[in-house]
Amino acid sequence: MNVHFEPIRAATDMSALRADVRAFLDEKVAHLPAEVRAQSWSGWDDGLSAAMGARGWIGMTWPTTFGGQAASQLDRYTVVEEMLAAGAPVAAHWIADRQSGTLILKFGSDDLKRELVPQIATGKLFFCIGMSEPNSGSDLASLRTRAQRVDGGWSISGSKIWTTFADKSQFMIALVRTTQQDARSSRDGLSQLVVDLSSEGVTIRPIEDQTGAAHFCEVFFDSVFVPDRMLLGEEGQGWAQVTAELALERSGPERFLSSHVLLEAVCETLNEQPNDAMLALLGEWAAELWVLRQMSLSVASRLERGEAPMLEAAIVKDLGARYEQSIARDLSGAFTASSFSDAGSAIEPVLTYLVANSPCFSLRGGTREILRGIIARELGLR
Amino acid sequence: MNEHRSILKETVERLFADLAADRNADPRASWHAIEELGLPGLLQSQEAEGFGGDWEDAGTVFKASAIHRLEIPVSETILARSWLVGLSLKSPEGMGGFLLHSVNPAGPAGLERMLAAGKLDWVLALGDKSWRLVDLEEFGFTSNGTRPSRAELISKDLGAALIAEGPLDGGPQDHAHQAALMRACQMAGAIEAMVALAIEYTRDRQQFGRSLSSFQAIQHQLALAVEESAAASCAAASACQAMTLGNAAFEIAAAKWRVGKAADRVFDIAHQVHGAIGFTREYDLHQFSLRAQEWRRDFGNEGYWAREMARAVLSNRPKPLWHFLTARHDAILAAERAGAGS
Ligand SMILES: Cc1cc2nc3c(=O)[nH]c(=O)nc-3n(C[C@H](O)[C@H](O)[C@H](O)COP(=O)(O)OP(=O)(O)OC[C@H]3O[C@@H](n4cnc5c(N)ncnc54)[C@H](O)[C@@H]3O)c2cc1C
Repeated sequence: MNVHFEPIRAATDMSALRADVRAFLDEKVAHLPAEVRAQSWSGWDDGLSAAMGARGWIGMTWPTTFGGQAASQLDRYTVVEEMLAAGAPVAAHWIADRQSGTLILKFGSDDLKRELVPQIATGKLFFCIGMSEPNSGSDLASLRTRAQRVDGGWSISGSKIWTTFADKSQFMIALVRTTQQDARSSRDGLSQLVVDLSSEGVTIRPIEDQTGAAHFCEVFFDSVFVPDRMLLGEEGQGWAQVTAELALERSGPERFLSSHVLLEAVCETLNEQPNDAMLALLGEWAAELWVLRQMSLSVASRLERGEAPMLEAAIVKDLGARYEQSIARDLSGAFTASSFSDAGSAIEPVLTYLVANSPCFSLRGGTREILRGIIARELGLR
Repeated sequence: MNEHRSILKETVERLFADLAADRNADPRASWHAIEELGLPGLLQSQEAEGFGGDWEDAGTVFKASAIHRLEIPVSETILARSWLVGLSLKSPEGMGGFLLHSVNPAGPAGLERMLAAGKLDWVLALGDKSWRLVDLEEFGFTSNGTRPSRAELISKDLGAALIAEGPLDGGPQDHAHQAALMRACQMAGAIEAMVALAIEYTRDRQQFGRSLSSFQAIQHQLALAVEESAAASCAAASACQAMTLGNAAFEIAAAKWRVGKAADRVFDIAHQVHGAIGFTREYDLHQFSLRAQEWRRDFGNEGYWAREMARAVLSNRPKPLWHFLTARHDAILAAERAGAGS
């Protein structure tokens, strides 16, 4: 069985960077109520994003010529894990930092890089991802939104759905069909276009989710013009680009820290002499968290070495989602009226929010079943 | 993996595979082959005439011994001999083991069985405040044909069989942790072996005109089993890394807990996908699955270690759990950078 999770080895010293980030968090985040911090990478605060940009903490690994710090993947990992563990509302720059900027650097023209990437690094330019459509979820390659060649560019018609923060982002990277349907496979003929969401013909409608927030949206395109220079990579190569993009976003610290604010709140306010069930639960969380972080860091160190550990990344995501999802629900079943000190009243809203939010952990970015299919494929079972 | 450890791993795996291939082999002959490699002294420094390996080397050997289901106590001997060095004692020759008198809820049934079956030449018995090194060959058997029990080893008059004894300063806590880590590594091996069997079997076995592994329901079960095995191996290896660089009480607790969980989930999946054949004495699966279940209870089961970890976390308040974890890991990497590791 070729699965490798060698522990990360002597990395560069992260302690100074970690201390800097913690000082920043003490100033900007610690005072926020727990139920706000619980939203973490779903929580939007453009002020915080700009402050992070000013410190060079967005696009850290990018070249300095494009506004980055040329830092290592592990430096970035440290900043991200500290932000998430503290529940910093990082949603505004999240997608642009994690995916879009890197994608533009890899596939965009030099002009496009110069135009967009440095602005992303300042924490003021936000992106969303337009992949899913009403009739294309897991079967993404069946998507129907089409871009037709027109003079000087493309004209998009169709719609996207579940687009996280489309209503607050300036740009979308959309996966669209650029050639006719009669291609050999539905995966052929897809392309990635950078779409300015202020363009004429774009309509955005937020959708309320079961937590009561409206963070994802439906986006309609009615003959929206996109200039040629906004094409990423080669026309028709969108599928390969998207698959690589998704593979690399599976193993980061966001895969095991989405419920962490609740865990810390429990830890902080649990009474002395907790019952055995609560004690065991706390210990189990600590163990799971430790192992998942070890696994995730192991993948990160391989990414830093330029490897592409697809199988391991999918494993981290599936295991991580199960752990994140279990926290709130296991707590629901274990605590008693006397579990928490008075400060424990903060637990209730966080618990309620996370129970409601947790189903999405195994949906967004590829469902649990799709991940297990990828693992089976990597094992050679299909 | 560094070069010297990959060579060790390859050598050990080749040897263990050979030993396992001949099920009727004389255990003495197998032991001789293991001694030739110097494995029993793996955790003894070269100054102490040992192999000079570290805990990551040991973890590799412990895991491999379980993958190849060795019936001889190579892991136990390695650990007991390293403790003898700590007690400034020269190790007896032959197959050894250790018994911890009163740690943790359920005792190590496997070791007691080996002891009872007369497989050990010597044993290091650790009580709460004292230790005894006992020559079991010299002891022979009691009138009932048995070896001394755990309690007897620590308290009974053993006559000439008692090689040495003394006080145990600081108690058997560190030993108990190390024993738990040894088991965690062995369990990771047994889990990996169960998953490999399950994958191989479902590929070969045909039902409804196709191999079982082509059914999505089976594929998803196997994917889960692989995830669990990966978590178990990563946990055991990470705790070994922490061990090499200093105190690893937390990491060992976390590893033994996580490996125990994985053993349980994989037990379920591996048996299910095997159908009736996996339930037979003839087929190999039970050699891993039942042993891993037994090992879950050795040196602290999941409930025990979960509560231990929670107490450690709570005693660190008001420091957040996150700060506790990251500080420990940063310290491990710092020590590695400073050259403590290999
Ligand atoms: C909070 C949230 C934010 C999101 N943000 C974005 C975003 O920003 N941009 C974007 O493009 N998309 C986004 N999505 C959409 C997400 O990527 C999709 O939900 C996901 O790909 C699944 O598609 P679906 O919801 O249509 O479910 P479906 O594909 O219809 O699946 C329903 C169920 O059937 C299972 N299933 C489907 N196919 C198979 C199969 N072959 N074998 C076995 N089981 C199968 C699935 O695993 C799932 O359990 C977001 C989703 C959520 C919940």
